[in-house]
Amino acid sequence: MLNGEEQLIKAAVGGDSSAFGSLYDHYQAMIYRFVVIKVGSREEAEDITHQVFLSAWQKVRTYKHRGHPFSSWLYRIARNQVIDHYRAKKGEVSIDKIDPELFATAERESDKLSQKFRLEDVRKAIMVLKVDYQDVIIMRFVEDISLKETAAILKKSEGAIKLIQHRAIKELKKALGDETTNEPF
Amino acid sequence: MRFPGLAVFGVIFGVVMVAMPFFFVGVAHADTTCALSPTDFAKIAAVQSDPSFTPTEEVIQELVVRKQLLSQTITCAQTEVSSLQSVLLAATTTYGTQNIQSQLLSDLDGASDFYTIEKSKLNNVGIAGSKEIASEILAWRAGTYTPLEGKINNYLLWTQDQSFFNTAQARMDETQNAVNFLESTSASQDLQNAFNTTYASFQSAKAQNAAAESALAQSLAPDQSLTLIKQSLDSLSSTYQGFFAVSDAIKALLPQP
Amino acid sequence: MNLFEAIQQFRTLSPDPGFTEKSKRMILASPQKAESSVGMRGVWIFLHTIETGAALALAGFFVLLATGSFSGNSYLAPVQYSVIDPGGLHAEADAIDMQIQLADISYAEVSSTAAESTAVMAGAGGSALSLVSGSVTSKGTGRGNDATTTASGAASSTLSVDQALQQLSQ
Repeated sequence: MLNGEEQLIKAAVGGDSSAFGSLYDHYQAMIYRFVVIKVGSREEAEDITHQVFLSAWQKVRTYKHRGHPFSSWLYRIARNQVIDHYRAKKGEVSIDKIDPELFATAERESDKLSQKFRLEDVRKAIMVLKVDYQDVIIMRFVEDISLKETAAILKKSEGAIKLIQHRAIKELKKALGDETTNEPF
Repeated sequence: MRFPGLAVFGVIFGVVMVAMPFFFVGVAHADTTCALSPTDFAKIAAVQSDPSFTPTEEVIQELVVRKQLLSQTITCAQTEVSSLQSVLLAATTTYGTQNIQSQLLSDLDGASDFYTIEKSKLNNVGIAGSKEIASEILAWRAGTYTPLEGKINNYLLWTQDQSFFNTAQARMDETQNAVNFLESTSASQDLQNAFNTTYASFQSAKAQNAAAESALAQSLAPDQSLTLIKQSLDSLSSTYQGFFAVSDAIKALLPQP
Repeated sequence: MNLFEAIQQFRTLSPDPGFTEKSKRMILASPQKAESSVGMRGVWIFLHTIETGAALALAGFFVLLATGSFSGNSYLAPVQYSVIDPGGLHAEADAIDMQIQLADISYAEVSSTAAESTAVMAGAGGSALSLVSGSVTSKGTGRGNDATTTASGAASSTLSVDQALQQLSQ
């Protein structure tokens, strides 16, 4: 959660655009990452991310702060936008049709190049999982979102999230042939 | 780590942690004091490499140590059996599952008898004979005892599950009453859909639970009945996701200030 | 690199700064919509003006149930508050999830024990410790006479019955 987030949200709900701008600065990259992993294209991810924040700005007056980070609400909007994207592009979307440079750049920037796990392959393996499993993997392991917040975003119990996480990792390992035995958390 | 001891104690641990707030199963936890120390087993090598023994003294000493250790090991194995018998006797049974419990207890008696017979052979064997007895017991455990422990573990897991099913059934009955009432005052497709999905999940769970009971009664291989038990729990978990959806649908019918 | 480290590499993905700046400017320059008539407040007003009777009766019923002011048999009280009680639902659901994890642990043990049994029956050589250390271990509480070896094979202070028998058979 952002420091002073509650005040920023209150101001944004009241129509303060610079307050919303601060929220945008803090959360835009994580929402973009969530979307780009799901859709595999930089251009489409930019469109969808823009739509998420536009939608959030337009609806922020109806937002009610209930103790969860603002990101929980943003993720819910993002999930719905991605689902709408798939519905609109039914038949065109394929996990193989990804931006070839997208993950190559990330791998070059990483100082832990691995022959074993290419990001492209990991993404493909994630994308064959059930939607909830994908979301838990991205939220828990890419963005380090807590169990509690993940449960709030997906409207499930923490126990259910733990189980989904366990199963998702198991399926991913099977798909990628990983032999490590312990989940990090 | 062998599956049986760990899984049975995992089951006991699970019963205490899971059942505490809602229902007490009352599983007895047998006190086991058997401890096989690696240091004791190292004595065999120590005797073999002790330069102060003559060849004959070495053989005699090694035989004494081996018999002592083997006797101790068999005693530990018999303690395992007693523990399992206690845990099994403490599990809640229904009319239909008493037969399963009786069969498992009888099989454990058989295991106890086997150990008694093997222990009695120790008096009249040399080093080679003691090694043979150890091998024989090891092979018997792998082929007979371990699968038996698997069946017992599965049975205990299944008996615990019945309390979850009873709770879920009570909740399903309440939910059905609620949905019937609400449908008569304000129709909601979301509510009806949520309820239908939940109901279907629960029917699957009950069918899989019955199949698991049948597998236990037929004494099928442990992995077969365990698969069915897991499936029934997964369906029960889906049922609860459905209860959440129904709860949300009911709340959505309430006007918010 | 293990799988988790690989997944974490996705953290290096970031939006183009040019896009970020343009998107933010466009969003903040756009007008916010007026409060939607389909919002919760709208539902309250709508229900009050159009179907006041049914909505109020329903709301009132739940208020009575929640405050405990209503009593009666199942005919008079067809809707139990427990149906929408999140605390109870969560507790029951969590208990089932824990039971599933217990069953999963048993499932893993069955798989590893099947592999061990095959090795024992085939007369695998080596010490008892190395035989057991190859299996999935070190979960949950163990009994006094069971070894708790870690995945890397480090032994604790006691041997299991099988480990002991393995040593005594050699």
